[in-house]
Amino acid sequence: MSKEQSTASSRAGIQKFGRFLSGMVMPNIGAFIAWGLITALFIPTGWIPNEKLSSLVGPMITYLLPLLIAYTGGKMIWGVRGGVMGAIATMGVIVGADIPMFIGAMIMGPLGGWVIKKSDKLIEGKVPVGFEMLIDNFSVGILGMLVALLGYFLVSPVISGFVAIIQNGVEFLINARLLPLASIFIEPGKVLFLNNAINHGILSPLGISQAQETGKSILFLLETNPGPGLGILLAYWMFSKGNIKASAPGAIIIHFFGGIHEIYFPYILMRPVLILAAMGGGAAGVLTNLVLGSGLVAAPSPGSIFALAAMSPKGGLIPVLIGVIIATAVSFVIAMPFVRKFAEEDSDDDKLEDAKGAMKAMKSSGKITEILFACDAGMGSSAMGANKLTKLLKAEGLDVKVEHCSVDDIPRNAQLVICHRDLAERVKLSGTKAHTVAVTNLVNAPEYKDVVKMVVESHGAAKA
Amino acid sequence: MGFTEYIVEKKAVICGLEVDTWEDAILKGGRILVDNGAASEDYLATIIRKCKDNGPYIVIAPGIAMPHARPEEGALSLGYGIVTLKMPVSFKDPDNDPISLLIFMAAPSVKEHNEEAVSQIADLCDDEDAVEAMIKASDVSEILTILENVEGE
Repeated sequence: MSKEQSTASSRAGIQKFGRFLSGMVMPNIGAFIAWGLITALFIPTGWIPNEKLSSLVGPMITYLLPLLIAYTGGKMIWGVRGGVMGAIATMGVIVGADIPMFIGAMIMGPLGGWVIKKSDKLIEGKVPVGFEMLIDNFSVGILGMLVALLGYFLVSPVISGFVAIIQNGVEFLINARLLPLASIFIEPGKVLFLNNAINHGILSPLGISQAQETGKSILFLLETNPGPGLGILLAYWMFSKGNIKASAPGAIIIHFFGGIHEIYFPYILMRPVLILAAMGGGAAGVLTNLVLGSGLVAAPSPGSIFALAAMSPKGGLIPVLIGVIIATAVSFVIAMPFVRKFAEEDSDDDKLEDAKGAMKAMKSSGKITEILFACDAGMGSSAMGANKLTKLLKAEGLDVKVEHCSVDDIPRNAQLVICHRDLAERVKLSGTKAHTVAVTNLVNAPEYKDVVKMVVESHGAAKA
Repeated sequence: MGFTEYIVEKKAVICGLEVDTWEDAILKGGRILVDNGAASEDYLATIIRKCKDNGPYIVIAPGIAMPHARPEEGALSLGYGIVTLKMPVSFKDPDNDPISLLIFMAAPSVKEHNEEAVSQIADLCDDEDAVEAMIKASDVSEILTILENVEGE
């Protein structure tokens, strides 16, 4: 029994973690697609090369995309303040590393949010009136600086360590003639944005000397085979739900035809176990290429199906294509059950949370310790209502915190939300599961009595 | 600065404003914020647009509206204003119409519109006698006297 419980809770923990990762990455897929389009079009080997416009590529992937992820991650922890902290913290790892820092952003973003959350909780209620703004800004400023510095000094050695492991691993496997196993290092390396370090640092130089001797080299196909990524994106397209499903076709075009592999990395980052599909697909592709003797005459850039075709030696196109197809199929088959499971888990979780919320509202069994007043700006009407309700609750001798905020900033875990009737719809849209009370008279709503009663009962029930 | 102190110091009061519609009330009454440099004309237009989009969210109690928008929607500095209407108008809020008292508000950040001011406005709205007297008042000084005599709970 207890064992079952602990596996259930650890599974719930893993699910929650998975949802957190996708919550951090998913809202920013649009930015990845924008970057992918710009890259596919304007880089020197793109469709309409343009030197000026291609200067967007570097800053977007180095700064914009990681900062967006960091902001989103921080915001999930502690609202906009958490987001700001997360972005500041991530600047440290971005500047400290010379590759795009996506993993760094996914760590530093939530970490930044967590740090400022702890700090805010610590000083809550201890700030003299009139100093709130000053303290708020400087706490983010000072802590942000410290976390950014921490990231800066820690990230460089960690990255160098990763690069060394992956480079040594790939070199070892090539020398040991265990080429298909090289995918075990190459695919995670790609997702960590070490793709250029691997391809241009190790594979291309070896490939060029091979190609000079024999006219072609399989090494050019190791990192550039679009099959593994395509398989994963196809699995998302066919088996996931909602936004992720809808975004997959666009990603497929940019990845497979545009050759911008980075576009599928976020789909792995939000469900890291899918790296297994990339490894399996990659290894199957390499094995196929070994058996069929496929190779390319030079490094294809970008890794688009068209570039691969163009770099195929005369009469060698078919084996290259078969290698891509096999890699896609294997990756797709491995990814399929995982993606299916995620889609199910997500919808189950939603149902579970809905049921929980309804139960709570019906029994109002949980002790209400915090009430949230929401209005459009979070400063006018809601402040008035919160002021009045605080007085009413104090008169009953109840120790309940009444906060006010904007409808856009309602935390998911809010217990009880009060708002103007005209905003009730937007409160629902905010995704909170809280019991919502809509009022029309903020100063003296008859509903306040019900709220006070509800709080009294919840406290009584908790005591009994 | 608190709400009461601001109103008294700046004499930010219009007594017996004549208007035909609620939009008119916001535009004419809102001059008080614009003239004190607290808000731009856009701020008032934004309030009207948002009321049309979202419903009369600014009506906070029977007879009372608190026209305000977000800090980033044109609030320039902290400012308040009390406006009474000669003839009440409908803000299209069946529960609280007609409206005779407008409490204008602009704040460049949530922090500046602090608990003290919130508390003072709430006390005023809560005091039905004071609100009624204010609506009936015939000049600005009378309104200021009523305001200063509102007692906190």
